[in-house]
Parts: sequence; C-alpha cells; structure tokens
Amino acid sequence: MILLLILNSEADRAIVSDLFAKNYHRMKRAAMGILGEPAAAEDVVQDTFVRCIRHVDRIRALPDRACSMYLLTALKHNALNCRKRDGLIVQVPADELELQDGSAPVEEQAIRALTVEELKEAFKRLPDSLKDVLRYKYLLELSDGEIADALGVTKSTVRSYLTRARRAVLAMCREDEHA
Amino acid sequence: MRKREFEKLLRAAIISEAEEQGAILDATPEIEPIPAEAQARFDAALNGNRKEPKRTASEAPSEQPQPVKRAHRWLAYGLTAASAAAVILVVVLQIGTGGLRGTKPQEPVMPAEQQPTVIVLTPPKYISSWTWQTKMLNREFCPRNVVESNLNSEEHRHIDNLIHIKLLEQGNGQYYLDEELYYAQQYRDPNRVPWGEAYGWWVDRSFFYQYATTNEGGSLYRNMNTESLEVVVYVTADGEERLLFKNGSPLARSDTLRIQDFGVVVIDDIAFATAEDYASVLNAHTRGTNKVQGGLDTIGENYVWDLNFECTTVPGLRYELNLIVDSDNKKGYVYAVNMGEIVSFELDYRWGIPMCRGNG
Repeated sequence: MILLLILNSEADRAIVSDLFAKNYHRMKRAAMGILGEPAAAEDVVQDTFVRCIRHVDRIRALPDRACSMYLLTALKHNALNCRKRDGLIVQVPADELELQDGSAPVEEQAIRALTVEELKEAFKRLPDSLKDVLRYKYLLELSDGEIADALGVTKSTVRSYLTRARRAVLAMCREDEHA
Repeated sequence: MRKREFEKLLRAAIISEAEEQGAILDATPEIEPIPAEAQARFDAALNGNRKEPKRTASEAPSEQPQPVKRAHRWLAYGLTAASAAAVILVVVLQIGTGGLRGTKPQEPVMPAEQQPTVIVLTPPKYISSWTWQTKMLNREFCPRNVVESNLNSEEHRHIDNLIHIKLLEQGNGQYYLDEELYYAQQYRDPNRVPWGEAYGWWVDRSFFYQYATTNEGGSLYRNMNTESLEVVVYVTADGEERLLFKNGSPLARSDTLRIQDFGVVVIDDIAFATAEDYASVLNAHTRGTNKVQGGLDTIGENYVWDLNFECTTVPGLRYELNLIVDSDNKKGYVYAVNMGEIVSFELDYRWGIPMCRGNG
C-alpha cells in the first residue's frame, strides 16, 4: 500500500505536511471521540493522512480553508470503517437520517433556481449525520459503496440517505423562501 | 432545476461551508507539539516512497560509469537484496508467531470487571423532550452517539416509534449502549436467520424492517418486547402526542388497525418504475380499499421510498410504509409497520410488471 504513495512535487509535500502540523491534534481528539482508544485513534489519524497523500490532487483543488474540514470528514469516515472492521456497532443517528420533509414532490421544491449561498445556509442547518453523508459524497467524493462500507449499510440505503439529505436541503430552502 | 445542476450547486455549497468551518478551525491553531512517534510515522509515509525527480536527457550524466562506480552499484544492489530478504524473513517470522496484528487493542472497550449501571430512559411526555434528552445525552455524556431514538422533530408531528434503550454507565460519567445485548439479539440467536445487511444496528425503524426481512414468521412484538427495547408509538392527532402502544401492550385501539384502515396512499420518490405500477400493486394488496397516488421524484435515485398513509379511522393519524427495492436483483419489498404488525410483499420486475406475492 505504501508503495502507492507518490508525491511528486515539493508543493504537494508542503501541502500535506502543513495540514498534518495544523490538524494532527484536533484529528486525534476527534478520532478518540469516536474510537475511545489512543492506539486505534492514532492509526486512524495516520491512515487519514495516507489517504490525504494519495488524494493530494483533490485537496489541491479545494480552497485552502476547506482542507481542514476535508481531513476531519475523511477522518470520521476512516474511524467508522475502523469500528466496523473491529466488529463494533456503527451508529448513525437514525432520527436525523429519517428526517422528514413533508410529502410535497421534490420537483415542486426545486422548481426555482437556487444559489450556492442559499444551499449553504440550508446545509448548515442539517443534522450532523446528514451533513456527514453529503460531505462524504461531495467533499470526499466517495462512491456510494465506500460510504456504505463505513456506515454499515447497503448502497441502496446510502442512496436513500443522500436523497433524504438533498430533499432536506431543498425543504429548508423552501422554508426560507416562505419565511 | 435539473438534478445535475442541483448537485453541482450543492457541492459548491458544501465546499464553501467547509471553507467556513476550516477558517474557524484554523483560527485556533494548535500549539501543542506533535508527538515524535506520530511525526515519524507521518514522515515515513511522506518520504519513504517519494519518487526521485526524473532527470531529463540534458541533465543526465554524459560520462560512462567507471568500473569502480559499477562495483559500488553492484554492491548497492547486493545490499538492497539482502535487506529485502531480511524484511521478508522478519515478516514470515512475525506471521508465524502471530504478530503483525497492528496496534489496535484486542480487549473490549468496556472492562469486564466493571459492573455497569443500567439506565433506561423514561418515555417522556412529549416527543420533543425525548429528542432533547437524547441529544443532550449524546452531547454531554456519550461521545459515540450511541443514544438513539427514532423520532422527528416537533415540527414533524406524526406517528413515531420510540424505543427504550439501555445505557450502561462506564463509571467515568460516560454511557454506552449495551452492545452485547443487541449483538446477541441480532446475531447469536440460532433461531434467527443471519442478517445479510446489518443496517439494523442502530435503533430506528430500519431495525424493524430489517428484522422483518430476516425473521421467519415471527412477530415484531415477540422480539421487541424485551427488557431492553420498548416500542412506544405516539400519535400526534390534533397536535398532541398520545401513547398508543408500549411494550407490546396496546393502550388504545391501535391493535385493530390494519393497512386497509388507511385511506390515501401517496407514493413518493419513484426512480426507475412508474408510480402507477406501485400504486396498482398497493391497491391490489390492500384489496382495493386504498386510493394510491404516485408521484415521480426527479431528484431521487434511491431505492427506498417512504409511503405515507392517511388513516381513515383515526383522523389526523399518518402512517408510513417503506418500499425497498434491490435494483440489482430487480426485486422489491414493501414493509409496513402497522402498529407493530409488519406487512410485506415482494415485487418482481423480471417481466417489467410488478407482481404481488405478499404475505401481509
């Protein structure tokens, strides 16, 4: 696996090294919060940076300030995978994933053009679990299968979660419009 | 707005939000030094396999290697080969002695000698308080977010299944879910069909549905009515919660409700089949007593759909049906939790015509 890690440019090395220096402790704390065990947390942090090295092209494409969130999201994904490997239960806040947004057809909700700013404000108000699912998809650019592995669900279920999350965003935009 | 356009904007919004969050994070820089061991691991990953920059033809040395340099090179090759052999030997020995198991501990998170205190959350009077209670516990006591309940916010008033869960106190002010209990219940019961897909791990309606797919003829009550799980159904007719069902014992007339008692069915989120197909199946299944309406969801491409029923015998009562379709196998299943009763039937798409083979 290590042999696959390739960082060709000094700039890429600098990016990753800087991210490591800036984020190591907060990532370790986050990993501890999920895994509760220092050695496992350290493994997950290091694995996350290995991923970071492997996907440095994606990180390079992000705005500088978005990189920390990318790392934290990737860390959470890795930690969930780790817990699943170790046979621990995967906990997804079900009440949040089951968020209802009414029965109005989505096409009616999406009929008007939305702006990035509107969607961002709606996204901020989502429950954390829905945010995570969307971040896995759109920030980490994980496949449905990769998300499913981490959450311990089927790909179909992931697609369902994503749809629910998108609908929740739309519903909030709609609420904002009516407010 | 088309789906692709929406997703593009959503991606931009999420990255923008990540940027904002990152700015907040970066505003409080870490001052604590990184442990040497962690730094070393990172450096190893970063440096160990870094490719040397390729030399262009103009940069390549023009002179031919001298014999003494060639000797050095062969010596280097020999040392490299010897090192590789040594590494392989060490790995083989490690595997032979049961090593290379990583740094993860083998012992459970909960020390066996600790006797946990069982805490059962008391059903609250109002759903909102339960929500608050759950979230508060997660935030304050339980970093793993194991305190779960299946409910919606106060704004989404409808039937809900609330589940009592056991929390075990670790002795350090933190609580965790009695994982062993769930594990035993779901995986170690020899009378149960193994779970193919364990998304019933968390406590929510999926638990019921998944249970329904794997249980052979059992009822929901039998297994849910355990000391660890209590099903509590609230009805929010007239904007007020009422306890209808608790621990398998009906507290109201809910046990008489059947799927036929529900009037209008609205099918939402249909991706690859027409809503009318499902409507016809559902109408057939419910013996023509329901009017099923379908709607096409242009955003959703998921294969799980919520169907909303409106009860005709209890005004204001809403009811949910989940439709789960395995797109690979072209089969679908419909499950309805009808106050504890699970109604399911299978849809077969082999001929493009959904057929009901229900057992509900």
